[in-house]
Amino acid sequence: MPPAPASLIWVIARKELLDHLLSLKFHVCVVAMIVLLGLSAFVMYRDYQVRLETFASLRERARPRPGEAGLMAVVEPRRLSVFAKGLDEVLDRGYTVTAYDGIQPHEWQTPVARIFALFAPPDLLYIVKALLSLIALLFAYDTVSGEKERGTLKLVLGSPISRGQFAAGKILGGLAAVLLPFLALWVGVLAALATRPLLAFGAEDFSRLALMFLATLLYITTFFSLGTLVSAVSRTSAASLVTLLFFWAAIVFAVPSLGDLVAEQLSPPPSAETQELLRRQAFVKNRFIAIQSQNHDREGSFEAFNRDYDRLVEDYRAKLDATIATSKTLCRVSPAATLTYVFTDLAGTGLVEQRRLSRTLMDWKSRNMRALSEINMRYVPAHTPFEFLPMRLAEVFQQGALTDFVILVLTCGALLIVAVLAFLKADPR
Amino acid sequence: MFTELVFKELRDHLLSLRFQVGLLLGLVVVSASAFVLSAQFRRENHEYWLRLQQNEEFLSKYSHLNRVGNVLEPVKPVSPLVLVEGLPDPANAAALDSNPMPDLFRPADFTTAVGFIFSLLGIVLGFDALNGEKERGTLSLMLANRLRRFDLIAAKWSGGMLVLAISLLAAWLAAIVVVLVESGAHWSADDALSMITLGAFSLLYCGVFFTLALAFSTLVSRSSVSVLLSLFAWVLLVFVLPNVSPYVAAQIVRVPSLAALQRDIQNITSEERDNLGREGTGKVFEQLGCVWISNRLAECSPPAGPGGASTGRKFTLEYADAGEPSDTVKQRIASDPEFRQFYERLRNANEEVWATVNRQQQAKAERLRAAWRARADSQFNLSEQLSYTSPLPPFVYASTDLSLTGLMSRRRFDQQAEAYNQTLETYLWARYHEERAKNPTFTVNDFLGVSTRPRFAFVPPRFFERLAEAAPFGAMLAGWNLAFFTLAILGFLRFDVR
Repeated sequence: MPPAPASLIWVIARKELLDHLLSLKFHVCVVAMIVLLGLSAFVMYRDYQVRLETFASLRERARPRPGEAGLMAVVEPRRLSVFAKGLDEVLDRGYTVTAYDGIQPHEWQTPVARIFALFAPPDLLYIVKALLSLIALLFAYDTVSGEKERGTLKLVLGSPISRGQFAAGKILGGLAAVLLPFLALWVGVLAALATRPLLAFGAEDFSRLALMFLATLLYITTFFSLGTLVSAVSRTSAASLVTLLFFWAAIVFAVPSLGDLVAEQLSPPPSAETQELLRRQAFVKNRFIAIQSQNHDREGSFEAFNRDYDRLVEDYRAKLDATIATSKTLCRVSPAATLTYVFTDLAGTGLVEQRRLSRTLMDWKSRNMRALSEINMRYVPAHTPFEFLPMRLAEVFQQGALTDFVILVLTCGALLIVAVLAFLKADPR
Repeated sequence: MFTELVFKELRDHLLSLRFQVGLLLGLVVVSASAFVLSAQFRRENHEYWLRLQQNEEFLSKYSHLNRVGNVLEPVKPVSPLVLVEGLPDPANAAALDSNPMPDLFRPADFTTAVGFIFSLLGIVLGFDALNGEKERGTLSLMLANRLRRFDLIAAKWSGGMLVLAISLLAAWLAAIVVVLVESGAHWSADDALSMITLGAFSLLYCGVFFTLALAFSTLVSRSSVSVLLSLFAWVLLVFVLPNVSPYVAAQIVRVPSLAALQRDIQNITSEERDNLGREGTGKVFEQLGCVWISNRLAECSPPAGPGGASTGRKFTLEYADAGEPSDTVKQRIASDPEFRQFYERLRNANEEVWATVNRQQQAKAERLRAAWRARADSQFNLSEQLSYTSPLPPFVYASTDLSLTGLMSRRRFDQQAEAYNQTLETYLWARYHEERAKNPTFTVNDFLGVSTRPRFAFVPPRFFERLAEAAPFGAMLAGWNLAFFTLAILGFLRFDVR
């Protein structure tokens, strides 16, 4: 009795997995993953410690004192920024809000040696996006072309195994060879970090981490499918590898970077320098009018200044949001960009959080206008304390993470189908 | 024979799929980024001049000495060397509402394209230079024709470097043409020389990876293994070492956060200072025979002061809000010379205490600041040195210095801005006194015309200054090339050609 089709697939997958497990390529990749993930967890955790120290110092400073002008808002660094630092340098800061300076970053921020801002932080997002995708390609580039070169493809296809079963088995086995070690290392890293007292992950954090792993699974499958596709249409493994390497460079680096630049042409962002100058001019003009008119001209009032200030900020944000939305859409052509959005949104260090922080600060300023206009040497004026809590997971999905997940699923699915079709039509000679 | 070999290599590479794919991708990325960066320059430059003009109109209506400094800060003009995006501008980094996209995805520029794509091209051109010949069976034939091993490997290297030079030249020319046509930027001779030097540095950088791959092709007999090793080395040198070096340095040289330092300094210069001051003035109080009767009332029986005998009198001190003497005390000071003398003695002693405490605490804060600064510099230097374990950071630092988008240009701007601010301050006060001489009631809040003020004009570093800054990085890249070439020669001398 012939074996069931499903069991044939598992036989091929098992064989493929074993072949990979015994290969030098696999051992080198696993060692690389261990080193990189371990190093990433270590350095990012220590970096988080430093940011937390900054936050503690700023929070102490933020306690209002009698006689001091203005209020201070402090934002706590996100725990999951250890995995995806994203925009956390922008988000975990102290902000001073004063009557005539508006909202300004507090001067006590840890200075980043700006020269190193030229290199991305080595967090989990970076490792998955840049390195794990490359590893997936290295496992997939000779899926078909390697079998052709060894002469085994003809032999296998001459047997009762159908092309579809063979394709399914090869892809499953190859994916398992990439993802199983990664899963084991991921669990190990999580276990090591979860025991750190500073992190103390909760149930929602673990849910977010599980979703990050799911996104990684889709992302890696996308690249593995791409590798299989190119392998199926290339004559030799060397040609397949070279083509894939350049595809990888384009998808992971070139497309997201160019996407933002193109978006700035289609929807030019307003200038931050001009914005800063306009704010200062509003302050100088307001004070000049107030003094010259001896506070008789309403254009020199505190309310007039804050009306102008708020209008400037709203106009600016509207234009900037349009640029960011265009950029996000264009960059989504690359799965690397989509993965970045998913990871940073789940970690609370993404574009949505940055926008939300800006709005929250403006709202807080509006609610505390009275306190901002008073300076009393004896007591602190009544005010609403600043609060910026992370978004709930459901809200994260509503704000865009669901769209990005859907895009990842569709991209992965489409490439997988095309890869299988290419495999089915590949010439085994 | 050598020249023929070089041309053979050149021809083989130029006709190969790997070169054509790599060159095509590199050209597309470089041209596209040059185009959009040129458009960005045009826009930013236009904004810059518009801002200056709008500020002049603003100043003609609202300028006054007290606050005009807020809108007269020097601004660095946009660099015309648009090929390299360089360091993010501090203004953008400080503003909450700056565009966050460049923080997520590093903008594509010439440096990025060379850093990632052309270096990868170097790897794919070199990984099977020697072991590929062996696999094809041609290596032993070549060496049987009285060709020295050194000549063969030198020819392979020269041919590969020529191909890289051609591809980089094509990309560089494409970028330059796009920039000069689209951006409208005017380049000086210094700028043109800098861009030519950037091209040379790009070749040195890509040569490192080609030579590394060539070395692997002599150390390993199978090209399927040498490609993996070359790729892993490339990943390590381009994607891992530069990114982890600042974080590793931060663990070796731990520096407390700036916020923690500022908090400590604030404690030293306010709370601790206040406590010491109160302790000191308390002792002064005791020494002058004063005793508190209530919160605001004290009675003093001072001993003999300097140069005088004790009068045996008792003085009553009464304080109003915030430690100020009450009206009663002020009247007594005016009417009673002995009371006045005592009060001045008390006040002088207190002021001396506060001056001493302030000096002491400021010195303590300064020592803390200096110690922190020394550690921060030490951490930064270590980060830099660790980053030199990869050829990418030296190439990036050199390209930012040559294109006026790096630290050197930032430092030069800060120096010139500081000098300008001093000149401007002198001018503003001179104008103020000029107006005041005409009108004695003129104040710092009255309108003050500043149209004759000196204008800030940034003078960028000359070419030789930029070259001097970038030269050590070029030497590093040359050193990397030499090291890997030596490895390749040694590897090939022991290579089994059978």
